[in-house]
Amino acid sequence: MRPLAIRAHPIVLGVSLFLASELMFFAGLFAAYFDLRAGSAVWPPPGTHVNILEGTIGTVLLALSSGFAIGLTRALDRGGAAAGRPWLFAGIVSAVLFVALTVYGWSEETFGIGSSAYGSLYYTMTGFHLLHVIAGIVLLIALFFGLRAPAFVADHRAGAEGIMYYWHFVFAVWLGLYATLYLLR
Amino acid sequence: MENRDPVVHLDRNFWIVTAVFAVLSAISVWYFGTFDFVRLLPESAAPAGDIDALTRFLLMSSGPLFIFVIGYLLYFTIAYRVRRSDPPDAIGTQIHDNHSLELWWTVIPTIFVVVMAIFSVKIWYNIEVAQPTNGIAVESIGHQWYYTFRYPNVHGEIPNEMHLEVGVPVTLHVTSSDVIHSFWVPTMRIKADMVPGLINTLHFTPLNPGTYKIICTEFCGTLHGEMEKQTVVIEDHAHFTAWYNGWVAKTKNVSDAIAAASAGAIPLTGGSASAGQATFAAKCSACHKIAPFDQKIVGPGLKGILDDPKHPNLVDGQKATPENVAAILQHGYKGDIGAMPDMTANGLSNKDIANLVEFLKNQK
Amino acid sequence: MNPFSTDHKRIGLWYMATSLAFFCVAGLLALLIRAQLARPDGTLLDAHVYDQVFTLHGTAMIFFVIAPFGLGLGNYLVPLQIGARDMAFPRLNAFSYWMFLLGGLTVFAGALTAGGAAATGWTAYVPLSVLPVGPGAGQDLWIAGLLMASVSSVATAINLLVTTIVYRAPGMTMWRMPILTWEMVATSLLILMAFPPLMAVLAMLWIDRHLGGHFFDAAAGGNPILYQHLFWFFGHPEVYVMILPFFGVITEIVATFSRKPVFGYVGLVLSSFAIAGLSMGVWAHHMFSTGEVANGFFAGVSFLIAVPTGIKFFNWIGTMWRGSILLTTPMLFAIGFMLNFLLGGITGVMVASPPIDFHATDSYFVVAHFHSTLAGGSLFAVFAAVFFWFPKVFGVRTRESLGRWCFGLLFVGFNATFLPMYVMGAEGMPRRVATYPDIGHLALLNGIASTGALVMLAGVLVFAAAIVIALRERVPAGDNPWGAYTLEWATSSPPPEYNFDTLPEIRSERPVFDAEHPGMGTGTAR
Repeated sequence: MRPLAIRAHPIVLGVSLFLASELMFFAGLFAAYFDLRAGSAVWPPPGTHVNILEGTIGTVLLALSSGFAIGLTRALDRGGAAAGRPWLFAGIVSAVLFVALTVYGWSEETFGIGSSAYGSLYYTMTGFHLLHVIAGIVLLIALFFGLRAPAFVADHRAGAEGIMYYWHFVFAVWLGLYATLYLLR
Repeated sequence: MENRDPVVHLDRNFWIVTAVFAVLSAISVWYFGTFDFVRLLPESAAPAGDIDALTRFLLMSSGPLFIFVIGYLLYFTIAYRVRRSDPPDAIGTQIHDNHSLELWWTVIPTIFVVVMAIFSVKIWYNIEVAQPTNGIAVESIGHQWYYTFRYPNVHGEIPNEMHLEVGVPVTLHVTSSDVIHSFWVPTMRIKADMVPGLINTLHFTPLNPGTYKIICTEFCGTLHGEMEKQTVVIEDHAHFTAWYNGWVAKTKNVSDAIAAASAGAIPLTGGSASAGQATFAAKCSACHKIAPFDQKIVGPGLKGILDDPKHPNLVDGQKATPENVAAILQHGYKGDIGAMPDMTANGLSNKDIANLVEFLKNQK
Repeated sequence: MNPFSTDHKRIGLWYMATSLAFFCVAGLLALLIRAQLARPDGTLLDAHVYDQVFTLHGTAMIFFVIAPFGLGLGNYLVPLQIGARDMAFPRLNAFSYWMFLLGGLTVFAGALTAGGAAATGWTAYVPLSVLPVGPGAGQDLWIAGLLMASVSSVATAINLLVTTIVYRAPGMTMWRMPILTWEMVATSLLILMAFPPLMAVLAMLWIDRHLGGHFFDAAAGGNPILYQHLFWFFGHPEVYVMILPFFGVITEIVATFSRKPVFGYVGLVLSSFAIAGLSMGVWAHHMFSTGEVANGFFAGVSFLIAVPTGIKFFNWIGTMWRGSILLTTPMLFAIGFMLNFLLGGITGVMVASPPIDFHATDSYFVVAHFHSTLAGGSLFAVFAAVFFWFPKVFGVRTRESLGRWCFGLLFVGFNATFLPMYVMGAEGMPRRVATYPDIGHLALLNGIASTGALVMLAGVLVFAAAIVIALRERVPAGDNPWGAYTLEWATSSPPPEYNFDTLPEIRSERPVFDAEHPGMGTGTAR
């Protein structure tokens, strides 16, 4: 556990509350998915195959990225901002690969957002998640350059902590999406 | 902790006003207990009496509550107002809380609302579930901005008025052809939203002959306010039977025509798929795509219409055979979710229909 | 005046002033509605214009008047009440304000587009709001405006929560926070839970409208009822977002002018969280007539909300009992609030009963019910709050005589406008209709309602006069003109930018009272 002073820092607290609201946003999308699924005799509609392999590779990539973020946090706890940068770089690279894979996956699909309610759900849920991944990459890159700052003071440290919370949250949402859209169907 | 739960004696005035509130409460109970709801709005069907009884119960319970709360509020306002003779820095008795009092005013209202909830759910069960279903089944379909009605053995949708027979239980299924409407007959005290793609059901038994308004209460677009011009007519057996048999007879020729259709079917031999494709583009593609069933424009996608395991039947309930597709092209179709014109309205010849069927056969 | 100021008092004041400006617009729209309905078969507005008018009236009152006034008040008062220097994230705070303003302007900008503003009611039910032949750009601007309001509300909620958790002054434990601050905490939690699903459903609505989505299209596997579920999952907590802050306002005013501590402080706090918690489980009572929901469950939970709401009433009346009651303008509004809101609460219990709701829903009975809570309730509390904190915010007094006239006119006007609506609904008048036929007592009742609306207009004009005259006369108010008890009255009026020179010792929820009555003890074990 990190020191209490960091966990009770207003930025970390604010990010946690923000993520609670984000959770409710995705909960709305998941509720829509399960509501429509429960009301359909055949689900998903014929002709809507998703590539489980791609989904699994995506899961591994985001898991790696989340893991690298833990490595970064450990490095920062030991006091070395510089030691954290390789971890961060690896995390960014896996996330970019995830984005590329998702976009490639979309181009492969035989159905679109307008094909059926399933299509609308699939693209909306993965799309909003992808937006969150892209925002996360921007934040990680900002942090990457922030780590160069000579004095890495408490607010920076709390900011890094907030970004890490966000990043793990994005991975957790993906796990829900992976289970819902690829495994349960 | 000198001010905690102080023993405060309630003075004589408090008991006097309490007695006054009790008398006023008794009057309100008597007033609501004898209030004639029919003065506001007649009752025309069976659940109306149940619902008015529930309203009466809630009003009889709420009246005393309202009188006591408002009464003490106003009494304390007057009794404890600062008077000219009071010192300018007068403060009230510094009472912070009283746990037993707070417990009572949590527990008693809880019991109160649980009783009301049980009574409500019981009435709800009476009007939704425990209604007789051995009478007539009628459908009403909401459109922008009118209602139509379907009766057993009457072909098509009856416009303008809905007729019902006194004493015969009605099972009414409602839906919509476009946006959400609602079916409200205030004199029956019942309402059902008409949602496209869903069937909502009401049960009731008409009681009093007369003509009663049907009102749309779900905002449905510009002319929403016009949707209170239609009526339900409740009448005796003789009048109802005459009206109903009139509609059966009036639409008999249409029903017969459908029955005869198999006899007067269009010959399908020698159809040309390429000519059919051209006709499809000209006459059909405004409403139908050659795409899976779900991809609707106005009507469904027609790809694989003759070979779709998910939709083995056509919209009229017939099996998806070339002959039955031709029959729909010939006679058109009018249903809950839209209408397709017949061959005359579409300007199709017998040859065009044969070509179209040949074309559709190939769209697997 | 620095438009980029991040001072919470400046932002809170802008918030409240802006929401009052939107109130004037939405109120004029309400007068248009009453003008159209004053006589049967009215011809003032054509139906399409009327639809835009009631849509904008409802949307503005809910998203851009009542709710943001509460948040603006929280913005102004929460840091002062807990002895903080500012909100936790001042720049985020400024962002919230500008998003709120922009959102409101965006919704109203729909009126300038070719097809007019959104005309599908504040609920924008599908499929009506999706149909391509129906609403045009106005509906899209409505979606955009509501998204901005949602982002703004969520940001403010986070800000308020972090401020109360982290920035309380020494001695200000959670159980010593004023009730108003507690209500802001409960409100913020509700916003965090309720607004994100609204954003999700608005996104789905936009996708159905523009990207060919089928979320709500029954013909392609979607479901129009899904929209209602998600919308009301937001919509019902939103009702409490619009009332909890004002429960706080009434509590502070009743305690101050009874010269007593809040009766049953703990009970009041717990009841707020009970209301907030229960309000997450009642959304489908707006949907009984769809035949698609578990009526028994949603009716039961809805009934239960009456219990914590009742506790608040009993505690307010308990607070007044054996007080030294000063009938100032804010206190009059607080008493008016209780009278009106009690009626709204009791009729709310009635429509929570599914059989009665089958008759009453979407009729004028329901219109009367929610105006009893939101206009007779929340709006009266808005006026109470303005008159109560005006001396603190501007350092000058309003004239009591004008305040009394304002209250009298609004109280009479409100009841004349909305009490007849209960009867209209019971007699079978549906809501959202541009015209009605001359049957039953409808002509008479509508005539009374429209006259009442004019009386309310007079009340609002007196209100405006009271504010303008006070700002011109500049009669100094002093730091604590009402003899109130919470920390904001311990600093100067208006408070300096840094809020406090020194803080009194905080030993209870009434630090100012404790300082003025050193021998009394706090009377609380907290």
